[in-house]
Amino acid sequence: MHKVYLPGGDLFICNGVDTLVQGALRQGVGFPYECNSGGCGTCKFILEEGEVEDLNPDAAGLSDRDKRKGRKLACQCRPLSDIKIKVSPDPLYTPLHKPAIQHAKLVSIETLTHNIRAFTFKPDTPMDFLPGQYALLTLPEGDIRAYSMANLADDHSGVEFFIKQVPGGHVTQALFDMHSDTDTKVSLDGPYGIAYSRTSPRNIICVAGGSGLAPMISIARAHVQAGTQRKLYFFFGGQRHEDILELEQFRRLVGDSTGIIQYTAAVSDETASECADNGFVHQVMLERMGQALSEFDIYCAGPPAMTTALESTLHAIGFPMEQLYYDRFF
Amino acid sequence: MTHTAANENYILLCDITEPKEESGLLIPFNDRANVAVFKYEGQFYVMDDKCSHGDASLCEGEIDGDEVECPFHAGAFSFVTGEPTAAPCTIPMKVYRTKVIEDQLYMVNDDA
Repeated sequence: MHKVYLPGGDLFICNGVDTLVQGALRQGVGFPYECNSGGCGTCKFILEEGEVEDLNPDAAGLSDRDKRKGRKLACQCRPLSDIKIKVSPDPLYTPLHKPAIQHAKLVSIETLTHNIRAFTFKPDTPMDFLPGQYALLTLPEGDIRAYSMANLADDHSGVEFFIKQVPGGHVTQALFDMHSDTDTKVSLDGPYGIAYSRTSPRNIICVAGGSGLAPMISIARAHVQAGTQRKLYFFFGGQRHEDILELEQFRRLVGDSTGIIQYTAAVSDETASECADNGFVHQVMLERMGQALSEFDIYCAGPPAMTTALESTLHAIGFPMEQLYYDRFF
Repeated sequence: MTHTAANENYILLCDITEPKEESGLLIPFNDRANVAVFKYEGQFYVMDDKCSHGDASLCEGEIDGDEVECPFHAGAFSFVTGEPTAAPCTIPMKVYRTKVIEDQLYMVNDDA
């Protein structure tokens, strides 16, 4: 156990295993972060006193100038002594549910598309989380991956992840080789993430690409359950028709029996059909929703190329960026 | 002070003696986004002041050559091109052409 002193004299305690981000969030400190994997660069800090172990000194989130100025990434550093650091905690990052580590057991696997399956894990004690958040999953072999929850915390089923099979990816292959009837135990650490659904009077747009489907489905499920007057427009994109959900499948998945959600699918590599528009999903969304986007909250999840393109386009047309919610993953 | 700009798309920012090399100069507006004026190797550069990553004023950031660092999460931009140069910033900033007329610095509002 080491003490981590923040500017102004506040401190939190970090054990020998947690990174600084994990240690801070477990104790309710709003340490700036997003990806938890060294890519986004949001958790930069300066070490003023003491010693840390840097798990990934060449992480993509650090520039040469950052290194020159002595900055490190808090999601890649563990304290080796009591330390004093320079960083500005921000209420935006204060966790509503503090992340915790626990064991979990695989209880079900369901096929969604030709390469996406829904895996449900039951933790020892129920995990509280908000729609749109993610958890770190540690497999029996020790690999760690971040996956977003697709279900709702209060449905008591455990946590459900939608996992896309990556060709040649040994982690997803290990998952796809699992069977729910064997006693497969994993470790779960969560919840994390700031792209969770917010209370607001505005209507909602969800944009999902590939395995970014899970957090958007969670938000859609919460919307159906809440039965609010707000409208929700849901866009889901893939390359081919086999990658997407048909309308009936989508409605069954989110429990939308009366069709309150406006669902549009998009395919980028095949021509349009009665099931899907042709184009990249963010472009299809922009074409369909027209110019009045500032009246919406927009949630998105998917490949970096998609989220970056959507973010740039929205910024260029003057969209109020505080109404765009997504976590950067790399 | 006389405004001698012949072109209505020129917006008066400041006297050319006001911007310093070591920090950005904030020019607030009521009717449009605030801008930051930077001076580098004797040239003036104008960019929107609010960081494209979060609600931070880039005028309060540290200058490093032709780049400015955001004071929130230490991302950075080139104030010459507006391109992001360090994570977590990913969206280019809007930059403006400048014009000096009788020792007054103007930005060119190409949107007008």
